[in-house]
Amino acid sequence: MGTLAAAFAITFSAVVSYVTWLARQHHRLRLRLDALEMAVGAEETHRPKSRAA
Amino acid sequence: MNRNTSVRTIGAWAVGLAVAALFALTGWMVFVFAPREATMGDVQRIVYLHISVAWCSLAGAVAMGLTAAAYLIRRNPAWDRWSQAAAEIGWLCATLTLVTGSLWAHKAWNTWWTWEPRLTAMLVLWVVLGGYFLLRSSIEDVQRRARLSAVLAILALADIPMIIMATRWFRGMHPVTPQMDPRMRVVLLTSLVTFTALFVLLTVLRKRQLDLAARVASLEQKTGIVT
Repeated sequence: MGTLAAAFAITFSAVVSYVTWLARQHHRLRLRLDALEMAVGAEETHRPKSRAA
Repeated sequence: MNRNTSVRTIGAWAVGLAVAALFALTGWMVFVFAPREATMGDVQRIVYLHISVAWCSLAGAVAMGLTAAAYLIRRNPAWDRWSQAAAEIGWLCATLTLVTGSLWAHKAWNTWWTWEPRLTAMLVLWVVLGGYFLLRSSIEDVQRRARLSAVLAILALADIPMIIMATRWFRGMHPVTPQMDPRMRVVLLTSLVTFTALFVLLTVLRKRQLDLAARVASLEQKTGIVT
């Protein structure tokens, strides 16, 4: 029974670890993308003003 | 977050919950519904897990090779990202195949490892997939990285027939046509469906994440803001 439990525990923890890593990476990339899009947006709104000046 | 992204997120959660429900059903079937095997006892239940993850590792390797070929033909970076996603899940499943197989072998064959043809062919796949990630991480240029890793991914396909046919071609310790109780077959089939669903879900999620990473990299290049 111990071997069976070990096989299922290892598989379960590997899948959960991978899913957790995916979620963390996704969150980090989303934050980075939002920050970059804000930077691009700010640059684009700033550009016409500087041209007018 | 735009509407498209929200729909995709809700969709991923819905599919995730469906896969979780499938896992609950599979767990019940493996531990309650499946009959106890007379010779090996409860340890035999590892087989439902072992065959399923082995199937997913082969599916991952085949998907990796086919999408790599598609990249070489089309030169669309999205195919390279599909290939990477499939390789990662395939490698995870290959690792689990070797670990669960080793646990099984310790009980059934009284050894943790033996250089049996199918085991060796699976180890070769695991090493090649590991090499695939090393190759990817060692090349900076995106196009060159995609091209070379696609070649390796296609070469890895050569190992798939070896794994499948090893027991027929070389007479290994794995059974050629295993005899099973009909209820055991139902459990195995359910487990295969469940793990295939998990494999597809994880591959799609990882591919989306790689798309996101590519978008971030492109914006970083455009803005010159790099952290």
